[in-house]
Amino acid sequence: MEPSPARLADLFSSLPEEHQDEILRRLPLRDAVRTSALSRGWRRRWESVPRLALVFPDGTPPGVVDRVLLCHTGRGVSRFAFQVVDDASASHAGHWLLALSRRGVLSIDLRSCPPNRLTPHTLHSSIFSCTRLVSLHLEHFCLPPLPVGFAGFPVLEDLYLREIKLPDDRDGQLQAIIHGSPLLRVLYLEHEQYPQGGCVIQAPNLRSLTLNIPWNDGWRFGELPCLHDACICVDGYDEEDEQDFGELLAQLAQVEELTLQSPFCDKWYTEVKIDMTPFTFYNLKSLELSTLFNNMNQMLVMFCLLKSSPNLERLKVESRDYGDVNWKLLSAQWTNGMCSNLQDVQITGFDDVLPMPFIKLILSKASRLRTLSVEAGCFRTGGDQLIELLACTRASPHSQVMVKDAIESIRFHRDVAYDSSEKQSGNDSPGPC
Amino acid sequence: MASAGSGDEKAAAAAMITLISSDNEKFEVTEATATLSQTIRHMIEDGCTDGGVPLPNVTSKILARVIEYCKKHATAAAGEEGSSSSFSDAAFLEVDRAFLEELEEFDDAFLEVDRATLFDLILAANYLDIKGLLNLTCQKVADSVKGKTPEQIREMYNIVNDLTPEEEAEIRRETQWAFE
Repeated sequence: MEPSPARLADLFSSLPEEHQDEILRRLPLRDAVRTSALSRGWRRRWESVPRLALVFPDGTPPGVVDRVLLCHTGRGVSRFAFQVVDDASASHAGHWLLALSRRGVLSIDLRSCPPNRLTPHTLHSSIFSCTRLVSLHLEHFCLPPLPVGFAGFPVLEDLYLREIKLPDDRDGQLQAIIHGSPLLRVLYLEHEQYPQGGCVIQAPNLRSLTLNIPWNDGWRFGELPCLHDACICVDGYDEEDEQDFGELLAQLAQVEELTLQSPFCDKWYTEVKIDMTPFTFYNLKSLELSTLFNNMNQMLVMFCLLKSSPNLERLKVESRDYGDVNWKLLSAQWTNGMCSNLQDVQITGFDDVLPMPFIKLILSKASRLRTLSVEAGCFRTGGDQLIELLACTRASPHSQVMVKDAIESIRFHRDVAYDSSEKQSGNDSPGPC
Repeated sequence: MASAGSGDEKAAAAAMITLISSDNEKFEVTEATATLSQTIRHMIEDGCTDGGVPLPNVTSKILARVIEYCKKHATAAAGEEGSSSSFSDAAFLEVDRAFLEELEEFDDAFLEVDRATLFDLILAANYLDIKGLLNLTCQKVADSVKGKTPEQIREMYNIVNDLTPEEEAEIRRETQWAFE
């Protein structure tokens, strides 16, 4: 029996207040505020909803944020997100942070965009008083000095800092923030000119690490016992630095997923000494590499990594250049057991040229291979590569060569919030051969 | 999934609990299913479930739906426990994903009810303290409001507009950004 309209009307308003809150706090801010026009009873209803997410659409005038923060009296704020576009809104941000720190905000996402100023806006120091923060995402700001007696962010789990200036960093500001966040699970650092002093990254609960920074002697990895995945792109390796690439990687030997992006200044790979025999990536299941296929040193790095990863199952290689290297010498580097657990391989070509000797090697050696995928674009200029590819000897009787419309290039930007449900690979239209 | 199977066996071996609806209908459920409700879990812990658990705030129609939800999600919880240690194992991940998708489909189908039932489910989920169900049902109501104009929401939920045109104009002016 269909309930009468009158009963429906009763339903919503007769729901206990806490349930109305539960429903309202799940609404985007605009929708929540719009309920004020429903009726007199609803006029101020949204203002008392606890843990409302104050996520402002891009282009919201700062005056609106002022008013919302003033009106909203509900206990706590679950999330605050705003994009600073001009000096006017930047000047308001200090008051907002002060208000938010008092309201025990759980998540802050502040981005200054576009970064059209030489000197980024300096954030108000009350950012350091938001001690209930679980997630902090800052882009294009200058951080103020740490207050005396900074107690850290005791419950912070996600820290995302992109193009953040740390004028105080000679005193180890970044390190103090990381060390002051014992529950940190996800750390993302990206900056063109990172701190002079370097930083020891040590976090007992860190699970996911992304680094895109100029590296120097001051950077070190400390204890990272829970590290599951690392995505590393370090640039500007200093000639005087003695730190060995292998030594650096050895400190990440516990990871299950590793992404290494060769920086555009390729000195990192081309001149840095590497000796990786002393350690093994026992847990490594998934490896993503972008490699210059015309550079012997980079090729050796790749072979070293494959040799050091006995349990590797998935490999993705992006060819960033192609040319002649001594494949005989490289093939001689292949040892028994290399790639013996490899199941899925994806390879992208450079300028539609596939690194065929490498593909041949993998197909002829990887005895448990299931799929090897290449981009369809590589066959635009003719079918020669395809014919060559299909004629390759295969060590695994079950292997399939797949031609895909597109293979995602090495993903540098990891998902900020660690979410396994979003890590789906799909969306290709595979054509098995 | 192997772990889900063992979860089922565990559940089958566990004690049964009798739930009694407001209209005096009895429902036999496993302890694993029943304890998705924190309220019932506490009753079991306190040892006061002999002779059945009376639930005077829940009708048999709603209780049947709630049990349907708990049965499905109790299996899911058992499966999760078994596989969490091998979270990154590709094979397990595939199975987990398939299972999660199935669970999502179940939830979507479960929520295909009229609004009165949906609101009754919210009240039952609250009384029985079943977080997942409360979450699901509240989200469903929120989704129904999302992106709607005040006129549409009033119509959906029969909310009487007692604002004068002047008052409404003022509210819209004050919060203009939310209406753009």
